[in-house]
Amino acid sequence: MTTVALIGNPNVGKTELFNRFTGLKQHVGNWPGVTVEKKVGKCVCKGKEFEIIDLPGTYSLTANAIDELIARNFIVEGKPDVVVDIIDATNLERNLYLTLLLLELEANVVIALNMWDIARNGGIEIDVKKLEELLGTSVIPTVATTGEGIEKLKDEIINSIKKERRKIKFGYGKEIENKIKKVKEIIKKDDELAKKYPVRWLAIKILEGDEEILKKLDGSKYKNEIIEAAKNDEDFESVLAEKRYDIISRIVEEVVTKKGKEEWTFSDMLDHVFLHRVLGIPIFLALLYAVFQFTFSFSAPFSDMIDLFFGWLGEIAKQNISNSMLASFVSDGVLAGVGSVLVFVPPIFAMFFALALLENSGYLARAAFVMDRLMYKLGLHGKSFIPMMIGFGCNIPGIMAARSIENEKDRIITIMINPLMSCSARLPVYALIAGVIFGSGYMAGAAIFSMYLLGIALAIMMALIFRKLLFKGKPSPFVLELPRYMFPKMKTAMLHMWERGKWFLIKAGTFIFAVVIIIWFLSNFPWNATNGGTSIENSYIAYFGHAIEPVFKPFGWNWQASIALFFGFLAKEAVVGTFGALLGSTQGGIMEALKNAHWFTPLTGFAYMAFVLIYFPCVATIGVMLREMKARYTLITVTYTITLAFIVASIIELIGHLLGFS
Amino acid sequence: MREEKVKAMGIYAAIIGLIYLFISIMEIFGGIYNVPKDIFGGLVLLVIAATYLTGVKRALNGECKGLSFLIAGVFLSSVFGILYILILFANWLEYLIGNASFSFYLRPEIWLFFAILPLAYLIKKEIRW
Repeated sequence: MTTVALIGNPNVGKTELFNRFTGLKQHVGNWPGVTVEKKVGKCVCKGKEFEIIDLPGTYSLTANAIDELIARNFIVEGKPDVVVDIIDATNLERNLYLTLLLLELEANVVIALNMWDIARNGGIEIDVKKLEELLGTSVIPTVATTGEGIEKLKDEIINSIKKERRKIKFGYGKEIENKIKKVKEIIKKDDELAKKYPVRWLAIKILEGDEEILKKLDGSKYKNEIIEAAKNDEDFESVLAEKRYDIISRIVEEVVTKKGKEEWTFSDMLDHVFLHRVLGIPIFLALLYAVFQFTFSFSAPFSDMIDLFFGWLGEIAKQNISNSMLASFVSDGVLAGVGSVLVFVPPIFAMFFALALLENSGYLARAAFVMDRLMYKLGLHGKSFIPMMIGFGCNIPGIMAARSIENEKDRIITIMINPLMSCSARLPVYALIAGVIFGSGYMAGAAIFSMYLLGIALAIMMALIFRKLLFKGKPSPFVLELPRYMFPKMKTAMLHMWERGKWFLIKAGTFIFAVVIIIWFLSNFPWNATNGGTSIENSYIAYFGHAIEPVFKPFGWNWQASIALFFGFLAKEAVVGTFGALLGSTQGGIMEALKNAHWFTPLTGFAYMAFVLIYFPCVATIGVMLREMKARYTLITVTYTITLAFIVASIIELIGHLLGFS
Repeated sequence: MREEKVKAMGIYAAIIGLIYLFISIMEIFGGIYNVPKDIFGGLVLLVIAATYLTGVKRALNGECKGLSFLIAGVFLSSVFGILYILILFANWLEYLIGNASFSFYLRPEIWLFFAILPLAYLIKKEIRW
C-alpha cells in the first residue's frame, strides 16, 4: 500500500484535505493545533490503495515541540512514499520554510497550493510553473473546502511515485557548505547512518545541534569524530534559518505578483475591535455568555421533552411489569438513571454547536490572543488558552492539545490546570442543580456561566501559584497565527457538534448505564430490608452514604448528594445518574423530583456546583495526565483539586451566609 | 467610500449606542418600564454600547477605521438579538408541552436587533467583504 503523509503549517486546511481524501469526518477547526497526533485513513484512487496520514501542523521540523517531533519522526523513520506539503497560497513566504526543510530531508514532496481561491480573489497571482521549476517538485493549486484541484492532486501523487524527482540543492554559501561537506564525509563512513538518513540533512541537523539527532549518533563509532567536525562557535540554527528565508524571499519575488494596493480588509476591521486593548476581553466574555445562554435556555424545552418521555416510559414499565423487582430495575434503575443523563444531550449538543460556530468563524483564536495579555502577566503561556478552551468540551483533548506548547514547564502547567475547565460532563450537573435552585429563567443560565468563569479564574490563579512554586521563570513568548475570519458553515458546525457530542451518548449507553445499575442494586438491596426498594434508608447505599456524609455535612449536603459526589469520581455525569437512580422514575422528570426532594437551597446548590467543577479530574483524565506528564505532577493535580474544592465551597457558603442566603 | 456616508453611519451608531447604554442600566438595576432585571444581560448590553460609542468619534470624522467598531457592534447586536429570538421560540415550545406559561414579550435585545438592521445594510453596501 502506498503511504501518503499530509503535512503543512497549522491551519492551512490539512484536516479538510484529509477528509476529502479519505471520506472520513475528522474535526476541522479554524484555529491552529487541531491535529496534535497523527491521524490515519485509507482511500482508493484509480485502483490504487493509499494510506493517508494527517500529521500535526508544524512550521518547522525541529524537535522543540511534541507535535513537530511527531511530524518529523514520521517522515524520517516512517519514510512515506509521498509527502503532500499543504501550503497556504495567501502566505507563501511563511509556508515555504517547511517546504525547504522537507526538500532538504529528500522527501518525495508534492505541493498542494491550498486556499487558491482566496489568493485569487485577494489579487495574489502565483506563477505555478515557475514555482515548480524553482523547487523541483510538482505544485497543484487546490481549494480543500470545495474540492477544487483534489483530483489533479491525486493524479500527481500517483505520478510522483513512478517518476524520478529532480533533486534541487539550496546552497547556504561557501563557508557553511564547506562545514556541511566536512561532516557529510565522516557520516558517509558509517554505512548504517548513511543508509538510514539523508546524509546532507543529517549533517545540517548535527551542525544545528539538534539534540534528538545527536542521540541517534549514540551507536556510531564515528560519533566523536562527527561531533568534533561539527564543533563551531556560531548559532548555526539561526544562521541557517536566516539563509533559508533569503532563499524563500528570492523565490517569492520571482513567482508572486500582487495586484492593487493593500487595503484594510474586513478581517483587519474586525480584528481592530476584537483584539482591542480595552474591549477585547469584555467582548470575549459577552460572547461566552451568549454561548451559555444558548446552551441552557434554548435547549431547555428539548431536555424537558426527553425528561417527560422517560418519566412516562417509567410509569408504563411500573404498571405493566408484574414482577416488582424487575419493574423497579427497569423503571427506577435503567430508565430513571440513564434517562436522567440523556436529558442533558440537548444542552451538550447546543454548547458544542455554539462553540463550533465561534471556532469555525476564526474568533476563538482571537480569544486566545486577547487572553494572552492577561495570562502572560499572570505567568501563564498564551498558547495555554487554546487547550483550556478545548477543555470546555472534554479535558482529555484539552490536555492532548497542550502538546503544541514548546516549553516543557508551560506545557505541564497547562495540563495541571486543564481539569478546572468545565467539561461537557459537568454541564448536566450544572444544568440540573441550576434548574432546581433558580428555575428555568435567565438566572440559571447566568449561574452556569459563572461556573465557567470560576473555572477560568481558578485555573489562572493555580497557574500563578505553580509558576511561583514549582516552575519558576517567565513563560515563553506567545506567537499565534490568526486564521482568516470565515462565515461558519452549518454542515461543519453540525459535524463538529456530532463528533464531540456522540461521546456523551456512547458514555451514557455504556459506562453510565453500568454505574446506574450498580446504584440501583445498592439502593434497593437487601430487598426485604428496603421493602422492595421503597425504604431506601435501609439499603446498602444509605449505609455507605451515611458513612461519608459527615465529610460533606458542613456544606449542607445530605448523604444522597454525598454519594453522588463519590460516583462522580468515575465520571462527572455519574453525579446526575446517581440522582436519577436514587430519586427513581417520576412523571415530572428528574428536575421536578429533585426540586420536590428539597435537597438543595440556592446557596448549598451553588456551592455543590462549584465543588463538582473543581474536585478530582475524572478517571479517564487521570489516565491521560499520567501519560502526558510525570506521575508526581498528576498526584499534585489530584491533591490540589480536592483541596481547592473544599476551600472554594467553604468560601461560597461563608460569603453566602454573610449575605443572608441560606 | 464617501465621507458623508461614514458620518451618517456614525450618527446612527451614536443613537443606537446611547439606547444600548440606557437599556443596559435599566437591565442592571432592573424593573424599569417592564425591562427585566438581568445583571449579566445588562453588562453584555454595556459592552455593545461601548463598542458602538468607541467608534462614533472616528466615524463622525469620516474615518473608515471608525467603521470597524460599528461592524463589531452590528455583529454583537445580531448575536444577542438572534439568541433571544431563539430563546423566545424555546419558551413557546415549553408552553406547548405544558411546562410553562407564555407571553410574547420581546426583550430589548430583540427590538434593538431590528433597529440596527438599516445600519447593517448600509455597512454591507459600503464594505468589500
